[in-house]
Amino acid sequence: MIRRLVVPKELGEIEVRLLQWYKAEGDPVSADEVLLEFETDKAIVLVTAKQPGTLRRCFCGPGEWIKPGEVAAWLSDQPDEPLLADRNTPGENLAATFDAT
Amino acid sequence: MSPILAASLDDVLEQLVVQVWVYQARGGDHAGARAHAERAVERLLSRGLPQARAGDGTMLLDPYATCNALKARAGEHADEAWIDWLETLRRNAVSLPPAPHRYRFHLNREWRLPSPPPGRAIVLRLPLPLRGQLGTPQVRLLEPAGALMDRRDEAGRVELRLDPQRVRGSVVVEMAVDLVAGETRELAGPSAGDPAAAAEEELWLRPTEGLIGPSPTVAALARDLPGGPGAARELARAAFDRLISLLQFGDVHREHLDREDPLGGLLKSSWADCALFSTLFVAICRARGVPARLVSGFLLYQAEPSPHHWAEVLVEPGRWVPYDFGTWDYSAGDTRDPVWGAFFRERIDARFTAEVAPRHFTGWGSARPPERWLRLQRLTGDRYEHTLRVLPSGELFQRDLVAVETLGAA
Repeated sequence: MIRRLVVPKELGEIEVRLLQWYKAEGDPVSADEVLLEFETDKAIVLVTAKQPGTLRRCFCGPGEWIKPGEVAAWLSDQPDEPLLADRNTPGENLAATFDAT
Repeated sequence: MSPILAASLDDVLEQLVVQVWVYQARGGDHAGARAHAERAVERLLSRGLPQARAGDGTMLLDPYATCNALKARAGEHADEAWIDWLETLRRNAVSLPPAPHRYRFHLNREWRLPSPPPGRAIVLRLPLPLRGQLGTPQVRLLEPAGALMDRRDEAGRVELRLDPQRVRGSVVVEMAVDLVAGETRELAGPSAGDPAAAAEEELWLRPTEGLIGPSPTVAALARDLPGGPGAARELARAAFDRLISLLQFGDVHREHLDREDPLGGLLKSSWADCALFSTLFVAICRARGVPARLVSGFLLYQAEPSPHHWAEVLVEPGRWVPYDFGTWDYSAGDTRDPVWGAFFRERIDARFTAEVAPRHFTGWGSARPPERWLRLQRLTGDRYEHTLRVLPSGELFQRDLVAVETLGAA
């Protein structure tokens, strides 16, 4: 299954800025591993996967802005599963925690 | 508004020294400046300035209320300290050469940090000039030694990542950065027809950003003003003058803001600081369809290099013009004053521009501000000290020691 990493709307109405990925496309991800870091004007937010998988697609790079509700990445259960049609294709969301430092 | 009696008499006296009699103090007569401040506080207390006593007998005052009580609009009865304060403000305002000059900005910043979550690096940020930076800033971690894991420089800020195992409470960093700055009457942006212009307009027309949000009060005020998208400069001038006539420039506790309508509430409380004045101004411009943005950084006055906010308005495609509500202070709220009434309207002096909301911000990193805080200033040696303290404890949260050198014409 392809799981979507979605920026939660609870983080605010304006965009968040991606600071860095801790994983690259193709990397396996374990439950409780840090995936990425982004920031708002108030805080730095660390995103930790709560489900294992493979990071398949990153939709934005360091320094880019993402709106809450947008998909930041796709992860899959198996490393070679077919991907979704496009970024906005509905699907299952990855379980993740968003911890503000 | 109930006063927040959280600063010692000494804190308030030193704040008055640096704001009102800073040239006397820097000229070697700190005792004389302090004596002026003591007499000013005595006068205010005799007129009913609220006070309290700490457990050890120390007098406690509200520093914001104390400073605001000294201010008077032109034509109103003024305390003698306000006459001195005006002179200092105006001396600062003409202290920088209009032509571009090179400045060296020194910042020593101390943070008091709570214990970080285990395993997570401590991230701290320092402001860099978004405009006119020269070379690579010198940044040195003074405390705790050996804790620096990584340094990242980018537009408008430097980020330090520290080993959490080595940080126990206090972190101190010393920074020096050079920049070129001079008088600014307008800044370039994307010109008409450039695809970036539309994106820029969208970003700076947003009805929600920080304290900007839906407000019938702000909308009603905006509707009353002349000008608009086809006459942005007319709108901006009218809004600027109108706000200066409606509000007084002074300190405002953030917890006193109306939770439902923070900007509209200012029109009832009648006080606004530089950030609130500018934010309300930006909200008014946007409500009338004119792109506007909040800008912040540091004034480069050698006597008092304080943090400051101002606004910029896109008066036509590709032309941003600055508006600074410090003008209230110079003119004592009188926009008809022939010299000071529009002193920093469509013009500002040399500045260290650190943030342009909403996308260029320094960010707090791991040093997230407390829910309630108090800002205090004083002279410490030859440096201007600016502290943020946690309320109600009064504990230090962040201390800046700032100095500015003028290096010569650019």
